[in-house]
Parts: sequence; C-alpha cells; structure tokens
Amino acid sequence: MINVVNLVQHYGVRPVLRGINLQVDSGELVVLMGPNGMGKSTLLAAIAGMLTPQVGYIEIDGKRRKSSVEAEREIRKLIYYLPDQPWLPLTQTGRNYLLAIGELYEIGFDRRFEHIDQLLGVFDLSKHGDSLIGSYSTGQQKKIAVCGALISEAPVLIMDEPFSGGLDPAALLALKQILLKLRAGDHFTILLATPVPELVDEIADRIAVLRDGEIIAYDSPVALVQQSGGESLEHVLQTLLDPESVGLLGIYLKSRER
Amino acid sequence: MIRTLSALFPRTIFFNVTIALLIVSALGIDGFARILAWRFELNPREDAIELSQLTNLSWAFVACALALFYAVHRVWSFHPLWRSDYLAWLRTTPWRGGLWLPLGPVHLVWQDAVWVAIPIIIALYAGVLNVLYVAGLFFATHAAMHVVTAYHSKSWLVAFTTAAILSATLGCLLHPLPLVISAFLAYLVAIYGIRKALKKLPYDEFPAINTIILTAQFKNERTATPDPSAQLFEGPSMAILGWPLGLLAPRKVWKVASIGKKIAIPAIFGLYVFALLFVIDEYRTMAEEPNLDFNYTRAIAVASVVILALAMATPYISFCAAPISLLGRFRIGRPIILSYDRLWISVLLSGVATWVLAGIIYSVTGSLSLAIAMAVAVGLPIPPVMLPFFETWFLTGNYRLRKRGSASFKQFKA
Repeated sequence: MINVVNLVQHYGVRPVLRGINLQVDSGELVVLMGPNGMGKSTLLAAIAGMLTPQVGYIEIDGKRRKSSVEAEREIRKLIYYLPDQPWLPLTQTGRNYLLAIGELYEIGFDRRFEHIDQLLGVFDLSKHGDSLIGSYSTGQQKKIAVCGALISEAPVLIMDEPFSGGLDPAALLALKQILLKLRAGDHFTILLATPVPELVDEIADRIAVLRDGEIIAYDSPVALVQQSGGESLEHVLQTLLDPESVGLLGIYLKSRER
Repeated sequence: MIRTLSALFPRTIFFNVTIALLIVSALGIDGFARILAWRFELNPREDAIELSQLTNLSWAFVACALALFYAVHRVWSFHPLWRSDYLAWLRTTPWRGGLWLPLGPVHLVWQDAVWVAIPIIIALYAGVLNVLYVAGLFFATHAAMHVVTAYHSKSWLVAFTTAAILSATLGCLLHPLPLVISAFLAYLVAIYGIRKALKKLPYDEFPAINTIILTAQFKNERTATPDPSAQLFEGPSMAILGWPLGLLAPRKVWKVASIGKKIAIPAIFGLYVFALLFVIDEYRTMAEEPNLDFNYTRAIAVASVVILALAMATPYISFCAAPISLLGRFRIGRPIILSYDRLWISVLLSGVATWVLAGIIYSVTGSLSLAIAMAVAVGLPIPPVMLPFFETWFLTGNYRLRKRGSASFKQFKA
C-alpha cells in the first residue's frame, strides 16, 4: 500500500533521510521509532505529501506521489495525515470541524453524523462537541484532531505521535483499542510514529527503527526480539535506538547505588 | 411608481450613516462660513474666498459621495449575486431568470433619476464641479460594480468589454461630456450582459459574491443554499479544516484561470495605465508644466509590474516553501532549483520585459503613454502565463508545505 523507494531528504547540508526504502502492506500497522531528530516526522511528512522527495519516490496504492495531477488527486482521497502538532480551526465547534472532514472525504450524511456522535462519546467530548475548539484544553484539542483522522475513514492513516500531546489515560486506551480494531480488518493501512515502547508491542505488525536517517531494522516485534536475542522488545528497542545510552544508563544507575 | 421609488431608497445603515455624517459635516462647514461672514460682515466672494471655496468643495465632495454610494447601492442591494440571503431565498421560490426581481430591478429605471438628481442639485449648489462629472461618476461606478458581477457570473466578454470602456472614461477625465457618454456606454454594455446572466439565475453554479469568505460558510448552512460545502473547500487555504489537512486533503473545487483571462486582465490593466498617463500628460500640457520624465515613469511602471507579479505568485509561494533553504542551496553548490525558482524567475522576467519593451517602444513611437502601457500589458501576463495552473503546482510541484502559510517549517527538521 505504501512504498517508499530510495528516499533522500535534506533541508540544508545535513541529510535527514538517506536512501530510505520502506514497504507497508495493505492492512498493516507499522510503527516508526527512532531517537529525536532522526527524521521520523520528515519521513511521515514526505509520505503524506508535505514534502517533495529530493531523490527517490513514494507510491501509495501503486500510484506515485506528485507524478501527475490525477494520481495525486486519487492519493489524497486515500490518505489522512495527522501531524504531531496539527493546527485546528479554533473558531469552529468540534462537531462542525468533524462534519467538514467527513464531507471532504465524502462520508455519507447519516454515517458521518452517527460516527461523530460515537467518537465524541468515546473520547469524552460529547459535552464539548458544540463548543468552539478554541475553548478546548490541550488534551481535548489532541482528541478532536485524532477524531478528525478517524472520521475521515481514509484507508491510509499517517499519524505522527498520536499518543502524545496530552491525551488522558482513557483516551490513550481508547485510541489503542480503535487502532487494534482497524488493524484487525484489511481495509486500513496505518503508519504511525510513537515514542512509547509499551504500546508498540501490542499494536504493531511491524516496527521500523530509524536512526541517522536510515532504517536499521524493520520487522515484527517477535522477530526483532528473536534476531537480537534480547529479553524483551523494550530492551531490544533501547539497544537499537541508542546503544550508547544503554551503557551510560547502567553507569548512572550504578553510581546512584552508592 | 411611488413604491418603486421607495424601494430604491438605500436602507443600508452603513451607507446612510456615512452619507448623514458627510452632509452634517458639509452643513457644519457651510454654517460656520456663514456665521463668520455675518459676524465680521464679510463678502464671501471678495473677503473670504478661501472659506467660500472650502464650503463649495465640501458640498461637491458630498455630491460625489452620494452619487458613488447610490451607484454601489443599486447593484449591491438589488443583484442577487451580491446578497447570499437574497440568492438563497430566490432559490426557494418559483422565481426564474427573466422575471422581475422581487426586491426591485438591477437595471436603472426612471425613478433612479429622482435619487440621482439629489447629488446633481447639490453639485449645482456647490458650483465648483461640473454636474456632468457627478452623472459620469454615477454611471462609471454602477458599470464598475457590474464588471465584478459579470466576471463572477462568468460573463467574461461583458466584464472585459465594460472594463475596457471604463478605461476610456478615465482617459476623458478632463472632458466632462465624453466622460459621461463613455460611462453611459459602459453601463449599457454592462446591463446588456447582466440581463443575459440574470436569466441563468438562480442556478447553483453561481454562488453569492459575499459568501466566498470561507469562515462564513457554516453560517450559510442555515440558508437554503443547495450545497453548503460547495465553497468550503475552495481556495488554497481551506482554513476551516486547519493545518495541514486544509492543504493536503482532497478538495472538490479548484479555481483555474484560463490563459485567455491571464492575458485579458493585464491587457485591460494596460489600457488603464495608458488612460491614466494620457490624462496626466494632458493635464500637464494644459497647465503648461513639463512633460513626464520617461525614465522616472518607466521605473514606476516596472516597480508596479513587479509588485503585481509578486502578488500573482503569492498563492504559489505563501503555502509552498523552497525544497532546500537558501543557505543550504549555496552550501551544497546548487543555488538554483529551477522547478521551484521558476516562480521567482517569472517575476524577474516580467520586470525586465517591461523595462526593455518600454524603452524600445518609446524610441520607436516617441509616445510615453503608449510605450509604458504596452510594456505593462506585455510584462504583466508573463508570471500568470509562465506559472503552472495552481492545481498542477499544488499537486505536483517541487516544494515543502509551509506551516499555516507562514515561513516556519522547523517542524519537519526532525
């Protein structure tokens, strides 16, 4: 469904992405992990169409991004991108915002209304649905942004740190359950970045580990643990993401024992 | 008869308050002048000429303002395309194009003469302004409003022809009678087109002019507009959906300007430049002042063209930053990225073409007005012709989206 081929991206001299190759199959949920500043958001933004690849290309459902107006039009109908810090229309009510997104993605009127009511209920926004988004707390704004992604029913969801940004525990669990449900069917392909290893183990079909602009590991959680001979995914990820810090952490913890 | 007369009376609070304030100001100045003349036993024609002139000018200003406001009101208040609520209501009624509009006609009727007579009488009282100018201002403003209406209702030929005739009106600024005649001619052309366009109403393809403000869209959901979201997703920003969804999501409507319009609009603009320079030249000749300096005028023309070219390139640039920062480009030895920099190159070319062409035409014809106008008419369409259609650029261009149209794109740096 998503095919990234030899993607190179840089803003100035420092390359952010170096020859990324990534394939996400239809119906898969892939989690992108990596240390801060290693290009996760850039990769997601490029897949979402925010950036034009300087080298390489991206295909969504067999159509190459930005290759033609028609292809790009088709791709935009398939994909919903939720950045880590989306800007929301603060002067609109949450319900109106979701209605507009549903309209944009051509979700039927009745289905849209029903889905919005359900989502507002699940994320504890029922009482705030008709209030202006500007009056929402940070967490509530994140919730309505997540609801926007879900209401679109787009077959490809690109989510940059959907679990961050002030979601309360109930919302975190709800989102996790929803993603698991979406993953269970074959209709949704999800690529998301998250820094929370505990969640990854439960929801990911495959994990892509990005470091220094390159994908250094890409496999299922079980396979990653097996390959590295590690005890747990958490340990494997820690070793993969920042091997130096593992050693330093050990020294630090020992020094605290004294 | 009386009903129509009453229906035509402006009822817009903004118009009426503004006019009332202007009249009160003119009355104040007039009264003050009269009190001074009475108190000091002055003869306005001999002892207080400046005070008298100020009074007359203030009345002349009121006359012009009245004519202008009434001309705007006659289109603004009566043409359904200018009023979303009116248009929406018409769509719910059996009214169809060709029938008498329920709130009153868009074309001028004899009752209008009664209301237009008021500013003319005031101008006569002021005595410093030829009343033909007031009539000319009324017709020209009315026709100009219809240019916007015709353009919006896709009556391109009518819009461009009327605008072209109005440029002649500008050229006749120093000659009241030709000015009125050309303004009236512009009105006749405009109203012919408007009557034809009205027959297409209230079809859905013409949204009301004052509903193009995206943020107002949801308010219109209450009205009977058949598809309230039809304009929700127009334009590059789709601000109502926030960032970046407003830019990345599929959209229903793309506004595309045809090549014909891209050339016609600058050509009309060139006509106005010609008319303006012609009037200035004529005035300076009459006042026995030296003619305009060519180089100075050319520099102003080039600056204006570059500013307008930048304005045309703004939608392309405001949401789309260069793929590599300027500093980064020099550091990697790739200062020009043609696929993106063509935006800037088109702006630069328009300025250079205007400069060079003005010089060539001036050296051949010796006419400053003609040289500058033609150069502007040729230089100005360069960016819109060179630039891709916005849809093509937006969907396939080499750029990175800016955050909310600002220059900040730090969020992608990690």
